[in-house]
Amino acid sequence: MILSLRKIGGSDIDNLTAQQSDVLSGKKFVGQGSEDVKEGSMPERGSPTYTLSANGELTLPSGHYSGGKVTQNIATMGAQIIDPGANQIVVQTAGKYMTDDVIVNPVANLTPDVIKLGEYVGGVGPGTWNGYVIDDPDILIYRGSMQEGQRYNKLKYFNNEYVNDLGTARIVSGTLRLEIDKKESLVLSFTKPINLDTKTKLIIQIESEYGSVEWKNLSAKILFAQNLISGPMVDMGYNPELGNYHELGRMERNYGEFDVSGINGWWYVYFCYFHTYGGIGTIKRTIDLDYIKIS
Amino acid sequence: MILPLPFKGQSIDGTVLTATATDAKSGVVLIGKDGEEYVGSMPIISAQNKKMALNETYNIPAGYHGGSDRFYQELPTLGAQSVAPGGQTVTVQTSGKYMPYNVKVQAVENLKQDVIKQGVTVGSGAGAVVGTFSGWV
Repeated sequence: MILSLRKIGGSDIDNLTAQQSDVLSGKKFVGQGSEDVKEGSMPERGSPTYTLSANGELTLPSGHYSGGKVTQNIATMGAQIIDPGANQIVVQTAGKYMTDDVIVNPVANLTPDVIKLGEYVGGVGPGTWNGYVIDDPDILIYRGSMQEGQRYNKLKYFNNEYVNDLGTARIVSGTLRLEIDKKESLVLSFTKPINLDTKTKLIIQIESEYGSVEWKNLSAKILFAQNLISGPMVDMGYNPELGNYHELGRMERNYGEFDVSGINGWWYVYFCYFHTYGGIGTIKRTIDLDYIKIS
Repeated sequence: MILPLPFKGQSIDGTVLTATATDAKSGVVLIGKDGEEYVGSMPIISAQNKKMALNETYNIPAGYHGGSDRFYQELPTLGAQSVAPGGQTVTVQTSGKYMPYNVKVQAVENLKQDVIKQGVTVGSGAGAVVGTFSGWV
């Protein structure tokens, strides 16, 4: 068939509008502007998958798509509860989207009373712990430290009776220091009883602030009693409120060992300290109770 | 098929033409396969300027895309965090944020055996410390 002027295959050349960029790459056609065979230049992108990075940006290249997607796959992390300690902990959050907070707990058991005196740990302080840790139930007191729960009451003989919480007994420089004046006596009653089953001796070590104790006009003794009392004790000779009791021998030197092999069961311990001087003037005497223990 | 081209006094081989309607943008006119006239039917997809949510998927519609489809994201982020633990709870406000870095929880300052009361455990897990201090300062 012979086409009329400016017509091809029945088409009017002037009606053709396609340009190369309008037609898929590789496809041949006759389009706008000439009768030449042209080849399309539109890229065929197919069905790609583009991944968007976190807070990223992307632009789809021009061309023909048969589908495809823009997607993202960022790991997520929920709440993290951290219990801190002496080691650094790294919470692996990098590259993740958090759906909850990271909570760092307080340091477990971190209170001033378990921190060495004057120290700070993790901003907590100053520490107040000062003394020995006594976890041996056979030790009543050691250099000013006692078992947890152990305490002592102090009673001073005053106006012919023992009076609670009177007298000078205080922990100084790692020792329990007792001070009495002439004709005075001071009693410490330990509030937690000890068990003498299988025990054979009680040991006391006493010192003075200045070294060895000058025992002239001083004496001390240990009393085991069934009951813990804190009222008048009538010179400790006997007080029915004490119940059954055992009086160990007096000590008049720094170190004493007392036989307790014949005594069994639970007993409260009383430490009694006497100043027998009857002369004129004030003559205060101090002793340091280093330790009392049974074995 | 040989198509006569009287305008130029030449002919082309119609079998070399391969384009069809689906190969061309919607609305454009061309002579393609078999010397037929085609009107393009390839959809022209309007440009997108889309803010993507976390892990969102956008399905690309079939058709022609002009190179202006933009996808972006604006997640809140939180920079490097370093926490000094102590006696209080510390909350790192990470919720709803993208984290480019790890969160570091520092070792508890001065948490050493010799400043903790003997026998007391302070801290937790591998970083727990059992105190050894016993004595008078």
